[in-house]
Amino acid sequence: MAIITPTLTLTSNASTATTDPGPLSIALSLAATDALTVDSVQAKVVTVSATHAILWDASAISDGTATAGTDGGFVYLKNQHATVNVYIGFGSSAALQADDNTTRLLTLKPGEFAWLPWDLTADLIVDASDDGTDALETWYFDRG
Amino acid sequence: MATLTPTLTLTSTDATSASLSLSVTDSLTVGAPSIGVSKKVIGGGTSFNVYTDSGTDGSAYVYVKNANTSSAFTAELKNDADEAFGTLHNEEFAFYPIDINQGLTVTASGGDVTIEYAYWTKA
Repeated sequence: MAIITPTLTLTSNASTATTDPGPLSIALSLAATDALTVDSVQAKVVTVSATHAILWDASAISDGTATAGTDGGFVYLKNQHATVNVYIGFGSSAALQADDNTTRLLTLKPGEFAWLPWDLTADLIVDASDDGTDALETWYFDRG
Repeated sequence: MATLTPTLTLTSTDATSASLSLSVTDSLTVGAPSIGVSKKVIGGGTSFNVYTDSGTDGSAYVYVKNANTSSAFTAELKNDADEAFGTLHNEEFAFYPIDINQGLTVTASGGDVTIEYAYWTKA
């Protein structure tokens, strides 16, 4: 077993600031951290296109026996591309470009990142607005 | 419009033979609606809409944390189809841009779960 320490900080200025004003009347400085016990780590950089594909195959990680809330882990995603939007879905592989798509979990604009739990009960799907070589960096940390 | 700066760091000295030290930051332009950092006790077996399906397209940057520190109860994150895609154990958190046309629901599993949450809509 190994320990991963994720730390998130969210900061913003007060809305009255003359430079980069924030959303609230007071400045925000939030920090959250945790110690995750993990038993495996996988990382990859993915070339995306406007054709959907499986990003992380749940059954390949869990042998199809995952129990929600017990198995699974955390996924890190970052869109490294300058212009392409990357779509991430949960469930059966399907196109994700259309808005109000129930399979689509999130959209990563260029430079955006995500950190979220994943239970391995269905695959994570990737799709994109256009071709993007090495556009998506992703890590999966499996709970120990 | 306003600016929000998220930074995520991932560190480990024993996950792989090479030390892990990953840090990523961004400068996000956000607007209304938003909810500042808030806390909510969700009763066991019940759900709370952190972000209700807006019926419009777009993204909102959501922070949600299982603020319990000593229970075995978990917070299940669910999409608009009421499918749980991920679980937060004690003190675990998530930060990602949800599709506001799908929203985000959190269900307390096993017992009461206190969550900390906030969101800012992408401008």
